[in-house]
Amino acid sequence: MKRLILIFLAVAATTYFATPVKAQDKEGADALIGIWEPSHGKARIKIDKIADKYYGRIVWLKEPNDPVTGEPKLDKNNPDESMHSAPLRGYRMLKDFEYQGDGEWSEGTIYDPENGNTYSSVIKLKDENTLDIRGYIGMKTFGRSDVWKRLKIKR
Amino acid sequence: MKKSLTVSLVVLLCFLISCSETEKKTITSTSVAMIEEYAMEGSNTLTGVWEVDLAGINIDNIESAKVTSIKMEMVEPEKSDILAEIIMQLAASGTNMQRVALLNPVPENSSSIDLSIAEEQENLVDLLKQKEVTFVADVNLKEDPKGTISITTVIEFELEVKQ
Repeated sequence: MKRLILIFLAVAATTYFATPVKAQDKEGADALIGIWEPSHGKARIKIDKIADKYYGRIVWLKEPNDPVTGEPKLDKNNPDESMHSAPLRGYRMLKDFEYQGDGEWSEGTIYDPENGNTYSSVIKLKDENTLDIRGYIGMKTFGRSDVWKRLKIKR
Repeated sequence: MKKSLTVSLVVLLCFLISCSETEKKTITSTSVAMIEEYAMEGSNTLTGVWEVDLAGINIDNIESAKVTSIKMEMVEPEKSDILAEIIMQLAASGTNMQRVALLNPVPENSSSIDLSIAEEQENLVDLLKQKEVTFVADVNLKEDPKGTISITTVIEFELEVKQ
């Protein structure tokens, strides 16, 4: 009987302590959602959640039009030629990020429209309004980091 | 002997071909409300997200898959002149997102729209074998609309399903 009570208490304690942690995890994961500006200030990226993963698309460009053609900028450096007519505005440059806990998202990729390259990437939340985003090839050591700032949404 | 071997090989080949049957599956989604908070000054972008319904298909038996056609139709045709460009993607939790179609620019005042399908769709079988597959439509706007935009989308897949 004593043993049964102990088991019951253990299960109850686990349930009690586990629930808030899960809720906290979800809240922590969704801290990535919002509109962010990279350090160069030439674009704004909206990060949203689709099917438990996080994606970021370009929602604003400082110079939306190609200076030569005067038309909206296109993804002309994409290695897939059939996508050369895709507009840069609306482009999902961050894809497939998964929350790892402790303010870190990884397993995703970042696309650089300047050269058409896609890099493995890891995102860290430095504070609620600052992201450290690193793109790399192979090992995390060989890569480049940038700091993104959260923008307030116009209401 | 040689002749009977050739006949046997032909019979075996016919048997193998008959085992794999191609099924053309058409998926019709309901009207999709596009979501946006109109966060930026000037024209914004919209996103529509909805699940792919593969009911009646054994997803484990999918051998090849290709999106062959995507048609979109504005529920309120008078709003059709505000669409600038459309990109359509597929996403699932177990694999990477893939672009499957786009249209740039959207022809003016066209309430019925045919998207250009991507040539490369390498990852599609892996995507469709996931439990929850999602279509993601990103639409760039020329100007922000008043109220919600709804678009009916008809997506046609060509699937080769092992019987």
